[in-house]
Amino acid sequence: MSTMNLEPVPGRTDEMIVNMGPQHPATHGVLRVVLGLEGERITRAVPHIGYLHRNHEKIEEARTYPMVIPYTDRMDYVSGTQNELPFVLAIEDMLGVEVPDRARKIRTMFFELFRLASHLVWMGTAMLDLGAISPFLYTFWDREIILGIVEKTAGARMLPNYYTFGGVRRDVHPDFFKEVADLLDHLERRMVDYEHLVLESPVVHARTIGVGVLSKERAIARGVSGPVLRASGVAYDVRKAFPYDAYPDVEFEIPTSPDGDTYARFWVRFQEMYQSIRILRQLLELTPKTGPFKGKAPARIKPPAGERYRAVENSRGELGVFVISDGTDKPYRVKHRGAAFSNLQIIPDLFIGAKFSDAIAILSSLDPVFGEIDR
Amino acid sequence: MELRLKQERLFDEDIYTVHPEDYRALCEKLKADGFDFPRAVSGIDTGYGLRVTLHLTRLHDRAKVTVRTDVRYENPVVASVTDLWPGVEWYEREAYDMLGVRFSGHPDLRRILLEDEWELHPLLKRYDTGGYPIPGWEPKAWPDPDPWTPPPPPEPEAGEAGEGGEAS
Amino acid sequence: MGLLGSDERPRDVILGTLDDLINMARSRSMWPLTFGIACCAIEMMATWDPKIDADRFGMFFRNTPRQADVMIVSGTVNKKLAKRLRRLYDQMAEPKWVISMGACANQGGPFRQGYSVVEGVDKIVPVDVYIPGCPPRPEALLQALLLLRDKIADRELRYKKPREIPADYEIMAEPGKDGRIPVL
Repeated sequence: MSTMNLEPVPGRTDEMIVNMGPQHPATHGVLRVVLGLEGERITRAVPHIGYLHRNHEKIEEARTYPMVIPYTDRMDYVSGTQNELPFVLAIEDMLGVEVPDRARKIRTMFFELFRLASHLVWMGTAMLDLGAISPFLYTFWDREIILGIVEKTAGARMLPNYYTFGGVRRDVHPDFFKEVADLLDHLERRMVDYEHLVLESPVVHARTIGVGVLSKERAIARGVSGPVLRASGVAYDVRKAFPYDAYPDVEFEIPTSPDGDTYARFWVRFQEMYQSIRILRQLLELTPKTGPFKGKAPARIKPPAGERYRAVENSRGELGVFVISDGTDKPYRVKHRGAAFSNLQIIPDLFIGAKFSDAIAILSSLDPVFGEIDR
Repeated sequence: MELRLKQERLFDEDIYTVHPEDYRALCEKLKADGFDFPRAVSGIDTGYGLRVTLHLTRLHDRAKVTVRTDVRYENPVVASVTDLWPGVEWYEREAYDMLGVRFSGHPDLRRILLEDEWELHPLLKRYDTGGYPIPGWEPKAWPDPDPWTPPPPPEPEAGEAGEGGEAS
Repeated sequence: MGLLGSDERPRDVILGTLDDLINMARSRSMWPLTFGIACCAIEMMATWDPKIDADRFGMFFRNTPRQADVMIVSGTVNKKLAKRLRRLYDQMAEPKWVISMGACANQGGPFRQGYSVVEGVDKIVPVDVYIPGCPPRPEALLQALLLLRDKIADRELRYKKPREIPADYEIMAEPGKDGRIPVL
């Protein structure tokens, strides 16, 4: 199918062409999908992206290395500091900067806090798409607590620009550890409610079980990663496969599900939240309360000529960055590998044959964020 | 068949620099080797031509490879590997959109991020951030020897086995 | 003996023009369009969460532009989106207002001078309230909504129509064809 817009098939009158987006309440941003409908059933689906293309990769070539970090923040804007880490790790590799142990642990704590925040946003919006409003009110309340903790330390709520080469920009707030401990207690109680509201809801069961099944082979071949891949039964997690920061020091599991349907993707995200809480509990014990938070990085960042690909496991999957340096203070080329970009490619695979209302449920289970897809 | 390629090791990745005519053959070989997870395809403007970089992972033992190939500005054609790894479909479209690399055999090669009627390939180094041509920009000379040519065998006193792994 | 002739009026009668009444009603039921674009859209959602709760001011999201009064431009507008944004604006019924949320919508933000970014949404649609910040806090959006409420109800501005902006498709074209002079 190589047409820009779907053209009606000559002689076929039972197919209706429907345009969904870019302004649609359930597309999580500015996705546009042109659908061919036969009654309620989807016969063709062509996704169109690029409505949020903000020339990230071009403008980063004109910025110095420290100035690139705030741009990476704005890619997957729901998960804040997670986006900064691959770029920071790649440059640290090229420079050979040592990161103090405490800084690595603080970074990982923020990483997991933002995973919780991102999955809470996902839960609220996915349930809004399915027609339930109250989970949104609970999850955004909890997200505000997390963002409050982030803001106290980093100075900004959503896009903190907190990681830097060799550690983090400033030490954590004195209340940080206590507030995180309180948050975890609160979230553990809340997760029980969320299970009742989402995973045990008969409406969710009816709309997600057996809907949009993605096979293991197809998921791997399509380059899908993150919870979507793990819901298809592949235990691939960058945190385990290519450990970074403090992940070698903590114990956690990779939840997988063999089903590959929309409900499995919901379930895997829930289990990831439990694992995040578990990681944060361990890090609360392991992280020294005082100590260095930043290693020795050169004042003027000039990596030697070369290239480096680094990836992290953000809330949506493998978020990678491919940096090419030519020895100056500005990167020669920065290529971002968006997890949601790869995940969104399976839209035609999952949509065709599904019902139109199922398409909304499938899309919300993919959890796309368009800052990262369109870059 | 002798592939024209150069192999090196950088951090934890094997990097193959391959002649564009042999790119497809090397990819088929890597696919047969079990590299099943496509990470990304990035297009790069090297100043003397366009470079396509394919990043692959083998999931069961976490081996990573990077395949790169250089083509000239005048004829930027690279074989598509969408049929080997369907996951690179959008990445190849993005490289076409941003740099004008044409992937022969791609099922649906059209612009993905910019609008279809645009003529600009913005990531080319001859354009500034705003997409306007930089006056006086000239392409660099094609490197000599060609980038994919393996380095000559080291002198005998170096005692190092040749790293230019001539895969066949 | 008519009420208007005497100085004494019953206390439950308010005198005014019909416009005042309509403007008051309009300002107390602003319905924004559900149109999240980028990072600011998450903070826009957070403005309707239980902590800030903009619902209590009578503001509810409408999913179709035909029913909406206020468009909150919450993020970077690029040239591909600009045509759609203008079309959504044209579809909204009069009277309509626009809030430009965040640095990107105000003037391009950190992505200013990029090849694909429109440097300010006010080149496409007339803007009533600008919010600085990248992204602005939910409180800032709430303040903007309250400012807009005052603006709608204000007698001075009652008959002022917003600045007409023609649907200028040149600005949405690619660099070199957009009528901009390159900065070199």
